[in-house]
Amino acid sequence: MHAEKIQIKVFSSGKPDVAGYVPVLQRWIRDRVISELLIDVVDYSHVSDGPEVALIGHDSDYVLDRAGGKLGLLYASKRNTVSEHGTLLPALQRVFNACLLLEKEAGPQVRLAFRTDELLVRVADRLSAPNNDATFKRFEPTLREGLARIYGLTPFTLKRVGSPRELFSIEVRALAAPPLSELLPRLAAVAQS
Amino acid sequence: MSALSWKKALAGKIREDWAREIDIYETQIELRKMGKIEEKLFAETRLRRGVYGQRYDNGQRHDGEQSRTLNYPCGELTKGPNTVWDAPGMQRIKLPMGGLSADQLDVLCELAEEYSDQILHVTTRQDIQLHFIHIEDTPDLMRRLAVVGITTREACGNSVRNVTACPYAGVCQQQAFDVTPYAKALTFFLLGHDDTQDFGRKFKIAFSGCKDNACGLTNFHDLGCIARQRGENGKFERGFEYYVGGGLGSVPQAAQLMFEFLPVTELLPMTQALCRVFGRLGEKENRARARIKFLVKKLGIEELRRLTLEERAKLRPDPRWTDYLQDLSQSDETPLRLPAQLGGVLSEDSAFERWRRTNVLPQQQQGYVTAKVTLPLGDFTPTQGRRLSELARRYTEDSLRTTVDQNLLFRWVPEADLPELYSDLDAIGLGDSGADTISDITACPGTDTCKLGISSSRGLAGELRRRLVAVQGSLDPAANALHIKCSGCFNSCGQHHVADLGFLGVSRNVGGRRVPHFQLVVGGELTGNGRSYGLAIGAIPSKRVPEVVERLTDTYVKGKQADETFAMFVGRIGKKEVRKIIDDFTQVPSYESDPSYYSDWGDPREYTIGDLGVGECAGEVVSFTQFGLAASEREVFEAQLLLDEGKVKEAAERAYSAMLQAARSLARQKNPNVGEDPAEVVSEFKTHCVDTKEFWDPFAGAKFAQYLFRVHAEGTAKMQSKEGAHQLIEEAQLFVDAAHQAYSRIGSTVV
Repeated sequence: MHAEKIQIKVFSSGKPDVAGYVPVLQRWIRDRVISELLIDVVDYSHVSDGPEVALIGHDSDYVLDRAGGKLGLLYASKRNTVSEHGTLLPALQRVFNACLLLEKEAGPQVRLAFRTDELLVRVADRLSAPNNDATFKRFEPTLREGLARIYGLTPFTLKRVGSPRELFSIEVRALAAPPLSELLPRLAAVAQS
Repeated sequence: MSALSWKKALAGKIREDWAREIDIYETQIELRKMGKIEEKLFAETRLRRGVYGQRYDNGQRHDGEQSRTLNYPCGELTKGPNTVWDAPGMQRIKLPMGGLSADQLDVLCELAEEYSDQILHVTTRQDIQLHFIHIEDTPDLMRRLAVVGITTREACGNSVRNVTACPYAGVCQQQAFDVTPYAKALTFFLLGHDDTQDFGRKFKIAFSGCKDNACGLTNFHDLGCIARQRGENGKFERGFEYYVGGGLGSVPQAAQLMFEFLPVTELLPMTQALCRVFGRLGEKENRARARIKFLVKKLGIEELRRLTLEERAKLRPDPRWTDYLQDLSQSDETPLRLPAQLGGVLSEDSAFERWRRTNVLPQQQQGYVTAKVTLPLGDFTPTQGRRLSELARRYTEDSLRTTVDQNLLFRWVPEADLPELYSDLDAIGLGDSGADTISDITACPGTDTCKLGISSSRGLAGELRRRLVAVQGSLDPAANALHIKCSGCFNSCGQHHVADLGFLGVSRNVGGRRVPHFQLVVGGELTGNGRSYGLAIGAIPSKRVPEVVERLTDTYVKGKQADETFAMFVGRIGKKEVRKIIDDFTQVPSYESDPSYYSDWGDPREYTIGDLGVGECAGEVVSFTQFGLAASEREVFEAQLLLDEGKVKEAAERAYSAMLQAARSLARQKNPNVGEDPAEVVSEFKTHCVDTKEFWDPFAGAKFAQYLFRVHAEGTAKMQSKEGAHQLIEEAQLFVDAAHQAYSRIGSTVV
């Protein structure tokens, strides 16, 4: 799947208050915890049903997002170059890596845990990827192939969601939730292949 | 590269002149990347399209321990002095009078999702701002806005900024008349007008339908127009009280009355004349004193009036001055639904009734009300925005307005529809009551994104809002009616001077460490169009401001007499007494005993002013002539591209146009009335520039001028061969170079 502005949301189990992550993400910038250019942290917790805490980067944003009433980490690629594996697998690698790092930050004030049995995949480009069946037909084969590489034998379904006015969005539901610690090595193996 | 492009997809759907402007801007981006436009000129060019810088765009960011470099991939490329190309910026989007249609709102939501951080922000001047935008996305962003009738031209920079107006214009019970058509006419008349391109600083205009209320805030604008009618026996004439020279900034000044009654027929020409005088006589070197308020102070309002009238008499008549008066109903709104009243009160204590009490006002038109949507800190999401546009289509059609208190207003709501509308708003998290109350806090972006921010105005506003909403149900009505406004620095973008409780960000040094503070400003008044300004009482550590608010509101409620406003109360007890009341909050504990004071609201980093940058609000002073010469350079470049594409005829015409552009830019220095007709341009250029030997080469004499004279006399038809066009392009380049030389010799001297 080749889409420069791919977005992937990994959902959280539980509904913690994420304001406690502002200092965490500020520290990520200072300590360069992930190998991307990170610029700033913005607190939008006063807004309902949307981004709550955003880590803004040059190539990507990582947003603790509560849109649709469901908290998760939304990875938003802004200008990552398309690799030979397209953009899906590198994006999954980045977002799963960020989720794992966030889970390790758990302390008395913050406790995030992420599920992998449900994902939201979006493309923030209405010109090249309007939210319609034609776009789904175009992306579905490579999306399936890419997800099959990480879910392995675990069955999963794809469903296009949202109205034509919204971003092209696919709901991914898997029958099981392989842990992040299993999915990341699979992604790394694909990247090296 | 993808064959798909927004330019192609939207071809034919944008006004031709707007499409051309955006194409030109896109070319300027490419030229800047090639190093062919000087960075100062490019900065002002992009500012005049609303493309603004943001904090950290100098490539440095303090992480709480030290300042670190942000290693953007663009290397040394800049988009302005000390402004890194790849650094995210802000796009300011003007909404004249705050007017917003459902279609426009939909597009704004799309842009927030695709180019920004998924938040739309309403400003204190009725604009929408999107943050964290990459400059190379801005041309497409502008195209998509243009399709729905929005231009970002002159949203920033030394230009006429967004024209604001009372959001109740047309439906207000107190208005003299609906100011909307006049504000709209003035907006589009001045947009890109030759006489508004030579300012040393920005120029802000506001309209109000009445004198007494707070909605228009004309008193602190460069130009404020308050609707008035005069006449008798059923025959009335419309006009404006015309105020000039107001402004907040670091030292606020009330506007002064220039005309007690300016007939509507004179609104556009008189403002054009005023702009000319400001462009000619306004300060250009010292940017801190370049607003028109300083010119008023220097000359006096009487002399400024005299000069403006003198200029008015010289203006070339323009049919646009009064054409729009033939049909004022063009800007009238049509309600979607029939009027219907809502009988009675559902339940005093219900959430709906609480919301109705604070957020709903009856319109002049029976059976209709306005309903204000309280936006927390002026923010909403694209999902919320799309739902709002659906609600607009269902209830009111295209009559949304943004407000200067950073909210959104539905107009023409049948009163009977209120419960359903409220329920719909509540379902999307926008059903908060408390509009225009103490919890409805105005704040500028501050240290969140502004390079000039000293303390976190949004962080403070967010904390105050959280606490006040929690207790709002039990607050005394007098306290509940107070207004709080927060600015991140002394530049007053949060309009703190006119609040009951105003706060402006400052920094203090305590034990060798910086501590964020806010100056408390009291005594301001919003009513009377922002008629009086508060004064600073003292600096409070940021983390203690909420307690100060609680103490002061409590003291006011207990100590006020009769219907005393907060400003009256402060005036009566004296600022010395107010200072005593808050004195115990001014102390800062040592870092060791409480480090929380040493970071700001919403930002856990240790506080520093190391991230302060050079503001772009003042823009770069670039004269009309400089812009014109840059445009002529660009046209020569475009002519070359056209020739490369085999478009010989267009290439020749563009080369000719480049020479005319350069000639007009020089001629206008001597005669600002030079129009765009080629014959007039050539004649004026000859008279003022060639015959005077200002456009003159020491060795070649009038040779380069002859290039223009010849092509003008003969037309471009003879040059429409590949060789002919090539020659003409070369001559155009030499002509433009000569124009630059002439300008360098003459300088920016104007009559």
